[in-house]
Amino acid sequence: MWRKYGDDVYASIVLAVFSFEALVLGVLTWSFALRASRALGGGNLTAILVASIAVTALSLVLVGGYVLAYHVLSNRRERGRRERLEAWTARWVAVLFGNEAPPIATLPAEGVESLLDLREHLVGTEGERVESLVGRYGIGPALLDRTSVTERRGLARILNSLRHRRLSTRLEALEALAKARLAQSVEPLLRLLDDREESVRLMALRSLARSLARMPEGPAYDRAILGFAEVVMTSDLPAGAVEESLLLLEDAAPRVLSIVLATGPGDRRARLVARAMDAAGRLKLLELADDVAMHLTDPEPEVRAAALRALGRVGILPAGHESSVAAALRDGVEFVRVQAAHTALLLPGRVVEPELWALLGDESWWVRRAAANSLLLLGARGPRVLERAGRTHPDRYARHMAVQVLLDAGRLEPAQAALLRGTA
Amino acid sequence: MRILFGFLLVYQHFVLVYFATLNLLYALFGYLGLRSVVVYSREMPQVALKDLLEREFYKPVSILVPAYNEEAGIVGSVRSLLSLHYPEFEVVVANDGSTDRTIEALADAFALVEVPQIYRRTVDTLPVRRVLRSLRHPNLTVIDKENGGRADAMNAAVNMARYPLICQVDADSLLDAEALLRASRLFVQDERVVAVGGTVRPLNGATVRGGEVLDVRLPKRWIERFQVLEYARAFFTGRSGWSRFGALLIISGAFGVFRRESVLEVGGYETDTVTEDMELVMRFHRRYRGAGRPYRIIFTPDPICWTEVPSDLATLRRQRNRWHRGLWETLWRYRSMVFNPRYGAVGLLGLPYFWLFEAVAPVIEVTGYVVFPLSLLLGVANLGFMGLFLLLAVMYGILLSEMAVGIETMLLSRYPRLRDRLALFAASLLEFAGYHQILAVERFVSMFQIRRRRGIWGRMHRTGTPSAPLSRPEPFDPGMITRPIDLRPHHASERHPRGHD
Repeated sequence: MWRKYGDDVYASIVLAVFSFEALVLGVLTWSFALRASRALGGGNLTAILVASIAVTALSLVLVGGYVLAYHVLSNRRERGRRERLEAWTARWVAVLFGNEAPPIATLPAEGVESLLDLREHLVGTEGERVESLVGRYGIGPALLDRTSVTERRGLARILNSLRHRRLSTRLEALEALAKARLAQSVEPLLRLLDDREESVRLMALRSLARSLARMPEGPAYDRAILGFAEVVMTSDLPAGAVEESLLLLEDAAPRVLSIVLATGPGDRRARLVARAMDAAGRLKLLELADDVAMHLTDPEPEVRAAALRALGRVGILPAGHESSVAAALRDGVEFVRVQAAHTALLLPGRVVEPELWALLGDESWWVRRAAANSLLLLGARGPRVLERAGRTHPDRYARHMAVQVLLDAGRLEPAQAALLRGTA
Repeated sequence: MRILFGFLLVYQHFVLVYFATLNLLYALFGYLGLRSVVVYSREMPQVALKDLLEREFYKPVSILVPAYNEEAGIVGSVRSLLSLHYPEFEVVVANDGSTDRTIEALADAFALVEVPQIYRRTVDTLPVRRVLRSLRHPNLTVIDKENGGRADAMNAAVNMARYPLICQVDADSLLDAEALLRASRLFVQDERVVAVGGTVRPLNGATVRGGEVLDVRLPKRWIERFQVLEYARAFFTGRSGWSRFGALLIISGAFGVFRRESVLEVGGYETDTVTEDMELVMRFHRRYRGAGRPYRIIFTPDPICWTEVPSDLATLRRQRNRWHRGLWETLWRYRSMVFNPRYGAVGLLGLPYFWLFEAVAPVIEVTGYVVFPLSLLLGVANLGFMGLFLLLAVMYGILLSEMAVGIETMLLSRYPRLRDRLALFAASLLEFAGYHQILAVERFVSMFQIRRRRGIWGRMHRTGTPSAPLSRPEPFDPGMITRPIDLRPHHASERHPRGHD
């Protein structure tokens, strides 16, 4: 965890020191070469060396002075800041729950921070009241302004970009916007997803998803949903970051995901669809089970596995797709069979046990493990089936795996397991 | 004589250019390290970690702890790891044939019972004698295996690991509560990430309770303070800088998080080297760059691991001897990658730098101790000029240390007392009064032992202080200790057939 102030200034000092030293050392080295070829007098060289020492001494004073001053001042500053934050939080709580009048003056940084913290933690009616307070003090536009996306023209635009071009300022504003979750920030944030800084794009994606999750329905909401889905499908953002943003969408997730899942083939399609299905599974979106099941027969193994995983998480296998899951149990790709073994629990009872029993003898260790784990979850009869497999399964490795899973689940004592394996 | 004069002149010029280039590179890395702190501290806000936990969008982690004769500290370390702030993880301790009571200490503290365990032995290791599970902590597994060295122990633990991410931690190290969360987040966000290294800081002098670092204090011994500076320079500037170039060659063995699948893909840890951490990272580079596959090996300044650093000169010299031999071993093994454009920044920047400014540096420095007096004696150099140059070199050294210490000041868990900071200033000057030279000579000597001592680690002393008092059973024991607690001379431990540090 780092302090988020004074580091930019320190970086500038270090950059200045580096530049001066590069210049001085360059001159010194060059002069030494001239001296060696007798093109420069010894006295001159010594003078240059003394100058180098002077510059280094100055750098040392500058860096050392800044570090010491920072140490002393930051201690004081943090004490004061903590107290102000506590006071402001107490004041906001009084406004929200004690019917005290909100402050009239412009808010200081601690006032804004404590209000946004409350916005992050309060939902329902209180959450809406905090949102109205955020709107009342114009916090949203101020934050958007600091991200340098506010529409301006001419000189105002140049001045704005000079004022807010610092990356640290922009990232801090984006973090605050993520907490504020304002509908008005959705469109500007969408535009930020094309920013040349990757860290800005990633932070904007998070803020956007969190804001979209709290946006009221209406034409602007519909436009934002479409815009978000389009960005997700066309941008070069890392797949993990995209999936995380899909999870942050909350109630807006089904609409975005159904658009993504219906997307046509393309280079990014397999990975994106797989991530979208993972998100649908994690959010347990029952309404998307049909959209997910459509991908059970996808030519890409990554997509087939993701579809199986998502259905397993959702806990529903739409009618008509049983044969696809059964076929996946014999898929040529190991990780697809692993996922199929987990999802097999959704198959009708008469089918699942023999299928998993057979899979327990699979050539892959991971498939055997997944099959044994699924057998264990077959209700009351699961452990009995596994115990029988531990004794009588024709495959030696299947017997071992069955015993191991029972042992891991605490269904067998180590001594019993050893007996079952015939090692005692 | 003219040839000798000529050589001395050329040598002086070479040293000046070498000195200028090296110092400028350090300063550049200082700037890049600082920039990465500026960005990192803002792009990984608390709200992102909260989202990760609330959406359960994290990857489970297996923490692997190789242990050899760690009786003194292992219980506290494991207890500290078990209390980490992470939703799903397991701890796998690989007892590498310890000859002390390491395994008994673990068994007593965590109620271990032997279990018949089957697992996928993907990487070959020396035989595992037994696997033990804790009755109190379902996420603790202990492997008792034959002695095969740290890398072999790590491989056994990798085989046993169940989760997609593995975190290697030294048995004498402590992790910050959020360290795993912060490191693993990078894997979640970007699937190209195969390894993440974090900052390692000396634990000596800190106050530890319940496996958590409560208060950071500068250690009392100067030898430990010098290492505080060295770690600050290495992690806050050097590694950050190389990470920005995409040419990070080392992830510390004390703390690193890896994608398990990637470790298995390259065949696990190499057992015939003394720096298996650097060797593994180099193998990643060769495999992924060679195949043209996208990958990222990242250093981030925040996930922080605290480790005990040597508090006596003999142990420190052995450690540096081993590090330098390991560096040479690894650089030699991957010499074909140097200046090979196929390996991008690693081949064109990272490896040449490590050859020239890390591997060969002791040669330049130690030769300097001979050549400069000789130059003065022969009248090739001017005493005044030489004195001024020495002053400049020392001032540069202090400046670079101060830059790194300045970055440490930005940390929330920094050395809080102003006098600690002043002591660090003093240490940055005093390290040139013998400490630096002794280690340079040790590294120089180690180069002649590379073949003879291949794979030999050398004996390491452990005070085991973070954990020993914590393992006491008294319920009201505050368990508060201030390092270093044990200043008695250490007894030589048993011979290490294959070493651990």
